[in-house]
Amino acid sequence: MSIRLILLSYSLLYSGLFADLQKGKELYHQICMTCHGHDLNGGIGPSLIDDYWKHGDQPNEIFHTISEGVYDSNMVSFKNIYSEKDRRSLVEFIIAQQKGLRSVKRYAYANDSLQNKDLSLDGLKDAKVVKEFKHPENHIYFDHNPTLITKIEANLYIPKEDTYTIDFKTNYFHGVNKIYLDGKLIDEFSSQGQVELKRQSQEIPLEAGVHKLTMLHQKHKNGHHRLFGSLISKAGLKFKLFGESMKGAAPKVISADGRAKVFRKKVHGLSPRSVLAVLPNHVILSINTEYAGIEKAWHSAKIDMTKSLAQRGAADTEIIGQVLPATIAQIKQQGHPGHIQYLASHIDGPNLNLELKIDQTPYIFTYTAKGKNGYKIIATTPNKVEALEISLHAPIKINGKIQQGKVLLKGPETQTFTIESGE
Amino acid sequence: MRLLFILLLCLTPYGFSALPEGYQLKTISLPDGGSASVLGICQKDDETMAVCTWEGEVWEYKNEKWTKFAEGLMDPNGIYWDKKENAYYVAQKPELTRLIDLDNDGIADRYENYTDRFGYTKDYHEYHFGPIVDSLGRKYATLNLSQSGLPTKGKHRDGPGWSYMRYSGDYRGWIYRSDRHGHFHPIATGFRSPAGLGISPKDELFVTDNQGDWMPACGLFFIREGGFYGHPTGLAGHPAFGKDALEKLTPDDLVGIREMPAIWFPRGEISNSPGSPVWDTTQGKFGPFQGQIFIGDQTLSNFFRCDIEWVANQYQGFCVPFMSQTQSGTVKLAFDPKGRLWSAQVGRGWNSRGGKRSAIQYLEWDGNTIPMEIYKVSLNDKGFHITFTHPVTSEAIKASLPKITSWHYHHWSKYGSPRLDLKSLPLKNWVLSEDGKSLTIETELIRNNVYKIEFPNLISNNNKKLVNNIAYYTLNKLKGDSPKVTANCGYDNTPFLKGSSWKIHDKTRILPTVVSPLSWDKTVLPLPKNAIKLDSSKWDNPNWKENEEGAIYRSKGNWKTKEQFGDARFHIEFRFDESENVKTQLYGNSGIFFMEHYEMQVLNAYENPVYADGQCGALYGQQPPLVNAARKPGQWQSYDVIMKAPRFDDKGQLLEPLRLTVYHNGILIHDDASFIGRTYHRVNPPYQKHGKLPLMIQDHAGSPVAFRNIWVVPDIDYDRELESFRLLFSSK
Repeated sequence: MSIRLILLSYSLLYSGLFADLQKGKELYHQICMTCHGHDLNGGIGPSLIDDYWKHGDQPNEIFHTISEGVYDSNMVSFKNIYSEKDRRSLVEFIIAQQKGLRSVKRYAYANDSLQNKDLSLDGLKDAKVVKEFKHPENHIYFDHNPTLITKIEANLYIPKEDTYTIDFKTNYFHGVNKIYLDGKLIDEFSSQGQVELKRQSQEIPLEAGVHKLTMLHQKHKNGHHRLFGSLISKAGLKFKLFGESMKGAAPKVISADGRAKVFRKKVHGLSPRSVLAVLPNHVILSINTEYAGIEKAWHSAKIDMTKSLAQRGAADTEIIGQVLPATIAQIKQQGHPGHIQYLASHIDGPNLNLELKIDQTPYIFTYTAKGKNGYKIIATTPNKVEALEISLHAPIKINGKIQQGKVLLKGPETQTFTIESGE
Repeated sequence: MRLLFILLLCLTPYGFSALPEGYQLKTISLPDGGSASVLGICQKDDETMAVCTWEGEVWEYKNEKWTKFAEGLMDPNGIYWDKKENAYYVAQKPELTRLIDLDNDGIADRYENYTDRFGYTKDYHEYHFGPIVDSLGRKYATLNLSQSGLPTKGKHRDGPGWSYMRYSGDYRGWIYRSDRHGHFHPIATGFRSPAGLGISPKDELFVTDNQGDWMPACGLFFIREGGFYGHPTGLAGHPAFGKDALEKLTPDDLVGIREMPAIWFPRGEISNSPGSPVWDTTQGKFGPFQGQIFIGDQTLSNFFRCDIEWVANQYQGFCVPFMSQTQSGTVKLAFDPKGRLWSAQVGRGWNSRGGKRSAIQYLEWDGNTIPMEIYKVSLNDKGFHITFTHPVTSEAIKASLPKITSWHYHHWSKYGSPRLDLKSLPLKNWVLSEDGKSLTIETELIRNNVYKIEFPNLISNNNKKLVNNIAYYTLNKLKGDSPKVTANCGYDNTPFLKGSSWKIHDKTRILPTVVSPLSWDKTVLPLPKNAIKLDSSKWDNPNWKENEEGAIYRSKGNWKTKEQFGDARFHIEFRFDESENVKTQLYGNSGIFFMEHYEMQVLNAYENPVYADGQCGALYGQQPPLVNAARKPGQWQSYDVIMKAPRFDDKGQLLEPLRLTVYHNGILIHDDASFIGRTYHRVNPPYQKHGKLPLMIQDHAGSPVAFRNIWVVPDIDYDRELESFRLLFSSK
């Protein structure tokens, strides 16, 4: 019996003969979808198809999470809502949606444990494991330590029967690598010195379902840092297996709640010192603190730090959402240089107050959610200002009137004015 | 970039003990369900520790539970709890931020931009580390260099090119101080990646920096205001160099201006990426190392111990391993009130040896067991004096004679430096003290060398093995070497000034850079409409008389205004008569005493290098001017000042010091600076409560000095006028 068959029978055993994929799908779309998203890619709750399993990716772990819920979160216990059979169907459905690696385990062996044998599963049969890791995420990565041999075991979820190859690449490969699928050696390569590596494994026909992937990896000192590998199907399906590591970083996506939030993040296209206002209606405004402008805006938006965190801030944080037009280009006092100082952000319940000095006059800008995808700004100053000049990128309502281009406010209008987007 | 270089390392742990005897390492679960990565740690109160995370959050740990205090920050590399203000300070990339919970619900409502008067361009390397805080509550932080910017020729890593790390905006590569909202005072430069900041119990500043271009190894630097610590890129922000100069600098320009670190940390052996230094102020709660310095390393996942001594007007000292095998790599350390040493660790990105993505651990002493350790290494005339925590016998020393090696480093644009002139030195002689605890060794002493002293197999009398058996001493100077004197007068036996780490009237203090003043006509200002001209009728001392040209010469007795002033703006013109054979503090000495007690010096500073804190424009004995903008004797000069009087509470406690912003001949010499106390010769007595007081001009021995055209605008709103005052001469 092949390992794959064993795994499949294990899967059947655990789920009972009655677990029903179609039933699982129905139940998922009845209730789970509201939080975990139509395509399981997350929303209020975390994604169920990304690489990070907070509470474990074993079928029984998923079953436990559904049954018991998660303490101190919106995930309630479903054991009194769905029968055990239904909950198992849900597990079955969720597992069927996976692709790539799950249940990654990593073991380290001392280099000398091979005792002059070649690196192979056989050679390590009696070797002592010096370290054992369970990954909270499912991309493989390696220890830096060149004195250790790494063995990785993972379940490979194949969504569709096809012929697959594994692409490997790294800059300075220096070591030995062997990869087994369901116990069979499918690829191996080694180098005595540093080489640039780019190779493709042989073609491997794979049935849909769970396969067992094992990789042995011995790195020489001065060798590569990461080995990248992707699985590619003939039909063009491609996913990353290892190298693109999050190093244990959890996905981090920030959504609005009842309280306004203020964020400083490095986001592509935003000015370095922009301030992000996250309003309760899921509108996010990027406030340019050099011009007192709104340089970008989104509705139905979230701040996704996942990729950035995986690269320790070297990559940008992303804002996912529907783009709204940038509205205010600049606010300045007429006849002044337009010197803006950002002083503070103050969260006042659902509103965010930004304290700015505009050409040395202190203003408070209050950003408020308006409707489903709009916002309102009320600006006030206790000081007397002769005239304010507001330059607009796009038409917007100022003091109740749609305006565009350059708008001049005079007298009392400069002491309190309102800017409103949306209807 | 460090990623690449970590690849090239072959890391073999040297004589590091996993844990010294009597110490235990405990692990705390990470916040946010274990998914956070910690970048900074501080104590909040007796029960609460706080961390800041890579995710941009601040979490508090109390009764074994985590609660989130703030979010949305950008890579906050350091956190400090200000007890007095009930606020956290965090250094996030774009600004130093003060976090306040106004409604006391345990969540920050107010994110104040404390200061952002430095360049930030979204470059990944533009880290901002800190703050550390002195006993006056002033905050210090460092600014990492960038990978883009000046110099444009910096692409070549090896000489004759310049460097890899660049200047992308103001004060990258600097350490600065911020005394209050909006205040920014640059202190020193020459840093590359100054990730570790520490402040000694005496308010002296220390910074650890990371090996790379122009940083031949990692080290602990003793920071004195005005100092240059090795990496030339930050000189773009220095008034003596500037951006244009940076393009033209050659390595020769750096010879003689660079300050050496107090301690080098030999790479691969003791430290590859040092975190923040902390002083053991636990009064023995953490073991027998009271007063010594502990540092954790991010890459090697260890702690090591250092101590410093004062030799030839600077600090130098030793480091010795302490423990290894933390779960991840330490970036910050903090003691709690129980004397436990907490460590914020992160490994992601720059893989630490410990292997974990992040960890919080603390090291605790059992209160009893003294491990066998090298307690101290100090320099003497012929070699070193080494003390152990337990006595040893002469036989034990004979069986484990110290092996001594020495080397020094290149100072160049390549990444790190090999060990130069690496050699074994003979042990010429040794003497063990009667109590068996101190060993004096004699060997060859060479300046600017690192000494590695290793005891191969030393066992104490009570049969404890010396596991951490290697100490590294950085010998910059020999005992008896004379320090470089910069001033033509001054002192070396006065107290330390808080924060600047110089002594009062220090004759070795680096002098302010000489710059060109604005021409006279550019500094002439129209009389503001609320101004009062302080002609001779407004003063109380008839000895000071106006002559035909309208000048009033310094005369017998101090000269005070009859009226008293609080917050005010002043304009004062003065002139030193050209005098032959007069030098030092006698060339035209007088002083502007704001509110009678706080002196800004009036003295010829043209080709007269008196001690820095006593030259023209200095807040006397406290703060030299930012630059020396003096005109020649014989020419009229001007001070334009706005001043905020000190604020006191009902009990007479100081709430806010006297602040002032000053132009000397149209050049900004104090930017929202403050007096740390009253000004006297050699001492700075503390503030004493007072209200409005007269302006006073001092009578002092010295060659003639004249005054004229003095006016005051009383009762200004200093805080409101500060910004526009900063632009006073900018259009000229």
